[in-house]
Order: sequence, then C-alpha cells, then structure tokens
Amino acid sequence: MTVRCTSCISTRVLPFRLTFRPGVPISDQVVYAATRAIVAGQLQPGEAFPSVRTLSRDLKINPNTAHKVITQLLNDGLLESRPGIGTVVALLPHSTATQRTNLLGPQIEELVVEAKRLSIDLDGITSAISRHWKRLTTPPTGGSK
Amino acid sequence: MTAATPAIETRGLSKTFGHTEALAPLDLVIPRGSVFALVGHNGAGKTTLIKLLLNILQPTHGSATVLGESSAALTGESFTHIGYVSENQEFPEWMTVQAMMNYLRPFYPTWNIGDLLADLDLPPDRKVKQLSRGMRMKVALASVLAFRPPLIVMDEPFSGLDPLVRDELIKALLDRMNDEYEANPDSGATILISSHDLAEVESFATHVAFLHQGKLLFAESMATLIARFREVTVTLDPSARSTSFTPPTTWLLPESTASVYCFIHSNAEAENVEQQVESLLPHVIAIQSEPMTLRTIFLALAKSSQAKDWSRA
Amino acid sequence: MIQSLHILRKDLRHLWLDLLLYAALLIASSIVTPMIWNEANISNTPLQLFAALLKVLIPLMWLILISRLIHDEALVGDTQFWITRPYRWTSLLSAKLLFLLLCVMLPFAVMQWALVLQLSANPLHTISGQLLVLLSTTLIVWLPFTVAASVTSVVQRMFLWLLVIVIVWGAVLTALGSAVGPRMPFPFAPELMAIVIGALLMGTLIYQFSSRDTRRSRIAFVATTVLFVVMFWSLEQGEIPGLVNFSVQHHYPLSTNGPLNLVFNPSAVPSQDAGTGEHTIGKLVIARLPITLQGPGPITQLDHQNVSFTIDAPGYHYTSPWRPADLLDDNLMLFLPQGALHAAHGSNVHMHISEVAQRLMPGTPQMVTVASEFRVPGNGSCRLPSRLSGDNVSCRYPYEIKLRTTIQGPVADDSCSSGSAHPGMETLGTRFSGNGLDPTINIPLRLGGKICPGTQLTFTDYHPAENFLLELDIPSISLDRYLVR
Repeated sequence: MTVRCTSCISTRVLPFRLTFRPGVPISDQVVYAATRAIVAGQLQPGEAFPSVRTLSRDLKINPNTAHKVITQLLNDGLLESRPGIGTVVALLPHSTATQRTNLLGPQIEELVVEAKRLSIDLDGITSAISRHWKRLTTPPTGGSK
Repeated sequence: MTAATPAIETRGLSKTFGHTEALAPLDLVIPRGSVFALVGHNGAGKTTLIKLLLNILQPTHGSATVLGESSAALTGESFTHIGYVSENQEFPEWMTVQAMMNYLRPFYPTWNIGDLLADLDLPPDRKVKQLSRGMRMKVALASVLAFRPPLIVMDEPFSGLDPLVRDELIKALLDRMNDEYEANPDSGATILISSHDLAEVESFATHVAFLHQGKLLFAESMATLIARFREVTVTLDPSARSTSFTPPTTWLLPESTASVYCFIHSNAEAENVEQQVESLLPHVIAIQSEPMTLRTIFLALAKSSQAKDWSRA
Repeated sequence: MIQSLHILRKDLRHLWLDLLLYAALLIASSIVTPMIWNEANISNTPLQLFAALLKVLIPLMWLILISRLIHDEALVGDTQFWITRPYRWTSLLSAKLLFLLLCVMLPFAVMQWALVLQLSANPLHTISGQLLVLLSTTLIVWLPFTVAASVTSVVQRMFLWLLVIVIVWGAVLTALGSAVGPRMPFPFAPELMAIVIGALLMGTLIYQFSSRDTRRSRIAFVATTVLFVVMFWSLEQGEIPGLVNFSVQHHYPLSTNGPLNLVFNPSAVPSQDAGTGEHTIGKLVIARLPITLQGPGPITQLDHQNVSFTIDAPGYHYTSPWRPADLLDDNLMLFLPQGALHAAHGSNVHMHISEVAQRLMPGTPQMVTVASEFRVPGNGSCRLPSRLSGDNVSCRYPYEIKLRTTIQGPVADDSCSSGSAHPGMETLGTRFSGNGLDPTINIPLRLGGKICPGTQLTFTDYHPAENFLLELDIPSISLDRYLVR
C-alpha cells in the first residue's frame, strides 16, 4: 500500500540527512550522503536533484559549498544536467568489472588496513560488509520496516 | 571567490577602557564574500571589535578599513551599504513593524523589502515593544536584508533565541546569500557574525577567528583549520626506555604516560605526522590521528596560548 | 533637507499626544490669564491657583517635549538605533530645531498673540516686544534645555543637569552680588551676553550632534554656564572698568557749553542724618554733596545717570568706578572708600566729578478720557477699578513699556462725588515683561489721589535725545562736613 503524503512538497524534501562530523570538509560529507542516497535507491534516476538553493537552505550550508557538491556529483556521473529541467539523478553507469575494481581499489585497501589495525579478521570484515549491503539494498517502493 | 581588496582590514587595532585592555592590538583581514565567524567567550572582545569597526567606539590605537573607508570616517552615508544586527541595539519601540520598515525605506536607495516580512513570519501591525526577543532579532535582520548591503555585521544574533527562531534567521540569511549567488557567484555579500557558540554558524561559515581575553588567537579559513589540526594519540611500548626530547613547535599540549603519548598537531596537512612521531618517539606501536571539532581546536589553542604567556613571564 | 523633513514627520507622529497636551495647556492659559487680570486685589482664588499651576505645567511640558524629542535619537551612548543607519547629523539637528520652532516656539507665540488680542491691542504693533520675549525665552530656556538633552540620554539626568546649573549660578551670583556697591552696567551687556552665550550654546549643540563627543560637550556646556555667570557679574556689575570707561568715552560726548551744568554750592550743608537709611554699604561710606544740575527750563527727564569722581590729597589718589546717581535730587550721593576718609580727615582734598546721562525729550502730549475701559498711548489698555481690582485705575501693557511716560491729571481729594480735586502726576519707567507666560505688564496708576471717570489724563512720552558728559572740578573741599552719620 502506498502512503501518499498530502502535505509533503516532494521537491523540497531532501532524501538524505546528515550530521556533520568534525574534521572532514562539509562538501565531502554531503557528496557522500548524496551518493549513499542514490545508491540506496532513495533517489531514482530521472528524479530532480535538489537545487543549490534547496541544499543550502535545508542543510544550512553556503551556496558555494552546495554548488561544489553538485559539481562533484556531476563529475562523478551520479547526476546529469538536463536542459530546461536542471540537474537530475543519472542512470548509474554500467561499469566493467575491472573499472569497478579499479575505482574501489583505494577504498578496499583502506578498509583492509583499518581492519588489520583494529585486529579484525577477514570473516569479521566480510560479515560487516554483508550487513551494510543488505541494509542499503532496499526495494525502491515501500521502504524498509 | 576572487579577493579584491578585503572587505575589512585592521592594523594594530586596540581598545583600552580606563586600565582594562578590552582588545589587544589586532591585525585581521576579512575577505570579500566570506562568511566570517568571530568566536569567543563572553567578554573576549567580540562586541568591542565590532563596535570599533563600525565607528560606534573609537580605537585607542591602530586603525581599520571597512569597505575601503577608514572606520573612523564612517558617516551616515557609509551606512547605506553596511547592515548591523545586534541584540544590544535599541529599536523605535513605539512603531509597528511595518511603520518601522516604512520609516527606514527613504534612508536607503537600494531598499527592496519584497516579501521579507512574510517570509520571516513577522506581524506587520504589531508594535516593536510587544515583540519577543526572537521576533526583534528577525525584525532587525529584515531591516538589514531589505537593502541588500555588501557587508552585514551581526553581533551575537542568535544568543538566547529558541532553536526555531534561530533556524528562521539562518534560513533568511541563506536565502539572501542564494539570491546573490544566483545573480553573481563571484560577488557575494560579506557577512561577519560573532558568536560564543560556533555550532550555530559552523555549517555555513567560510572563515573563523577566535578571540580569547582580548587577544586574537587565530583567523583563517575553515577548510585550512579543519585540515591542519589533528589529535594524535601514540601507543608506546611501555618497556622501551623513554628519551627526553623537545617536541616541535607544531605539537601542542603534549601529555604522556608510560604507554601513551598524546598531543595536538597544528600543521597535519603540511607535515608528515607519522614520520615525525616515529623519528622522535621510541618504539611506537600505533598512531591514531583524529580530526578535531572546532570547539576542541579552540580549547587547545586557548590553553596553549595561556601556557605560552606563563612560560614567557 | 528631505531626510530632515522625514525625521520631523516621524517626530510629529510620535509626539502628537504630547503636543496635544501642550496645546491644551496653552489654550487654557490664554483663557484663564485674562480672567485673572481683573482680580489683582485678591489672591488665592481658584482661577489664580490654576494660573499658577499652569506656570509650572507649561515649563514642565517644555522639559518633557524637548527631552522626548532629543532623546528619541539620543546623542549619548552607543546602543542607539540611529547610529548605524544612514542619518546625516545635519539632517537630524535641523529636524529637531525645526520641530522646536514649529511645535514649541510657534504655539507659545500664538498663545501670547491671543493674549495681546484680548487686551484689545494690535499684535502687529507689538512684534518687536514679542520677538524679544521669544529670543530671551530661547536663550534662557529652550536652547539650554536642548543642549542639556543632547548631553544626556534620559529626562531625569537632563532635569538634574538643569537643576544643578540653576542652583550653582543662582548661588554664585548671590554671593558675588552685594559686596561692591551699585555700579554702572556696561551699556550693551544684554546684547553682548545674548550673542556670546547664544553662540556658545548653539556651538555646543552643533559639536555634540556632529561628533557625539559627550565628554567634551558636557565640559563646553558647563563652561558656557560659568562664562555666563562671569559675564553677567562683570558686565552688569561694571566689574571691568576698562570696558565701562571705553564705552563712556565713546557714548557720552563732553558737553562744555550746553544748557546744563553741574554746580557745587559750598554754603549749603545737606542734612547728614542718615535717618532710617544706611551710612555705609559694605566697606564704603556714604557722603552727600550739595551738587545739583542746573539748566534753563523746567524739569528735564534724564536716563542712564552715572557718576564717577576722583579724590586727590597729599599722598592719596582715588578714582571711583562709575556708579548710578540721581542728579535731579537736591544733593549728590557718593560712595567713598575708607581710605578716602583717612586722607580727608581734618583737611581739604581736591575732587573732580564727572557725570554722564542721556537727555530725554518729551513727545506730543496726548489726552485720554477715563472711562470704564479705555486705551492709552504705548498700546496700553486701562480700566476703572472694580470691587476685585483695587482702588484705582490700572493699565495693562503688552510686552513692554518702551518709553518713559508721565501721566498728569486732576485727582479727587477724597471721593469722586465731592468735586474737589488737585493735580496729580506719575512717571512710568521703561519696563520689559520678562519671560513669564503672561506677556503683559500691569501698572496700577498712583497719581496721588483717586482718578474719577470722565477725567482728562495727559500722557507724555519721552524719547532719547542726546547723551552728554559733564565735568565739575572742586579744587578744595572738606569732606568731613558731608559724611552721612
């Protein structure tokens, strides 16, 4: 059963929430949160992405920072610019296995280093990865319970 | 943003009241288009600095330039492009909100209030003296945003306000910033906000300066600040003999026990922290380098400056 | 200019209630004051009490109005609304001054205008008097109030400042006043003081508005007050002999072969009994010399009579300051220092006496018939006595009596019905009504008897003619004979 929100303004609700952590530039944190939302399916391809103004207002960030975020997402291919409509969520590109591995290389290495440092073994890391994967892979309609 | 001349620049600006030095000689540069947060505890000198910049008070020594004009020469006309919002400033209590806006309009050639009153949810027919503190600050902000000044100076605008009102004020400010950004991304208004609690403005400030007991501890952009401070915790082998050494000047507030050595690194972006640690400390087991919240950075700098004063004396 | 009108409009909107109250008080004053004009003989009627109350309420209203006007955009402090807004100080000051002119001074002038009209006098003929009242009220009340408001931020402080200033200068003047005997004032003292003090007050106001340097402005204000006291004492009391001598030389040309002469009559010895009067004032001793003014013709009217003298004796010389004197008396009263007595004791001294005065010439006499209400020359309005107003005819003049006037006419011996009469006369000196709310001067006529209806009174006014200086040299005189004991 779909629940329709009659008082929600669909274009103004940011599908991602974040609390700022110290030490990491804000733009990086927003890019990460947006990426997360797109990957998790909270933003569908073709959907309008919030404008600079909306990001700025709702997240209480500088317009310059908001602009930086959108530029970064465009560069990463997560968003695309459609004339007349603005920025919309792009179809996630189908990448080759090698591309994927190459892209994720540094992140995987960081993960492994971190795990070793904290004395987590391979099984521990693999089950952690599974857990996160399941959490972020939710069907587009409905929503998780 | 391209920095042409800075919006505000001070040279050795200081103020003494009787025998108390409220503000030690200060050199500060506030770039155009920045959102500059001026942070410090109550009595640190923030209000004094702002009053000196706006020619409300005269400096004991030194000078300042505001939008190209000497601060001591700021006259009536200069205020057509400077907006000032302060919890301490009086209002014409007897006027209604609308009457006050109508009264101010002829003073400003660039006045264009638009829907600001409605956006800020202000009752136009209520008298100012009947407004709550939060509403008064909204009125003050509205009266400044209405004429779109290139410099907005806000002295503790959020102190004592309930979070909803604070939210509205910030949204109104951001709206204004977005208006300007859409019009011309390179020439935004310069906004100077003083606060004793940085959390309010941390998310959208571009620069921060910290005043402590009348002295300027530092003033730089948020990005560099966040990048260069790290809290470093080094786990040591307790059985290793400890050697004494002088830590580099970029290592602040070092503390140690037999198995742990921690300190704050103030230039972590430029210097190789790991290398430094390994070359100076014996038998390092692990190095943890954590970014710091701004509050913890201030505390560290304040403590370290105090320590410096004591060691000098 | 536009900015100052905009500020003025704001002030009018803000203070409309105060202005309404002020107008009500002024209207009440214009109604009540004429009602008590005819009650001169009775005191403490309700109307008189109300009029006295108005005398306090209206100046209080000035205090309140000026305080609210200036303190609305206060000059003192650093939290005022206007100091970070595009106000030009010239606009602010001119807006406040314009308000003062239109809403404080003008209504006051209109109220006095209305009173003059009720005197059946023509206000257009008394414009000089009205301007004089407005000017003096401005210098003594409105301008100091405004300056006091500009160096304070609340009405209580403003009031305190004014109170302290009034008390201090009152005290200082009283302390200084009596020690030195009567002196000739510097002739242009009021004008000079008005210009200097007015300029200083205005200057202080302008300085405070332009610089908001409260500390210096307060010092300037206090200094102006002190200067006022000093000027007042020295000019009015003739304490600067050089100045007085200078003006005497310039204003009073020596008259050598004119119709008037000073004559010393050594054989006449005036009564030395002081009677109920004094024989000393302070450290000065009084002497009466048989010196009279002689000239052809009948009584001459003189004004600004002042006398100075020198005494020369072996080893002693004294020059007196210029003091007022009355030369139409039988003898001349002089004030001598103690030193002169010692020098003159038992021996003769050489005296030289100088006298200055202004001769007044009579104008054309005018005849007026006494009726229940009748007009007299000089814009005056007179009436017969009623039960309330006293025994005799009284005349009321708007603002001032410009010229000395003699009034002559037959007065009844005892009552008007008896028919017997004798000639009566009175001289009215020049007067100024001062700064009260009521700009009229009331003179009960005292011709020396009862004035009956239908009598013809002759009014003669005297115009200033020429100034002159007379000298008299007495080579040898024994002062002991003329000292008052």
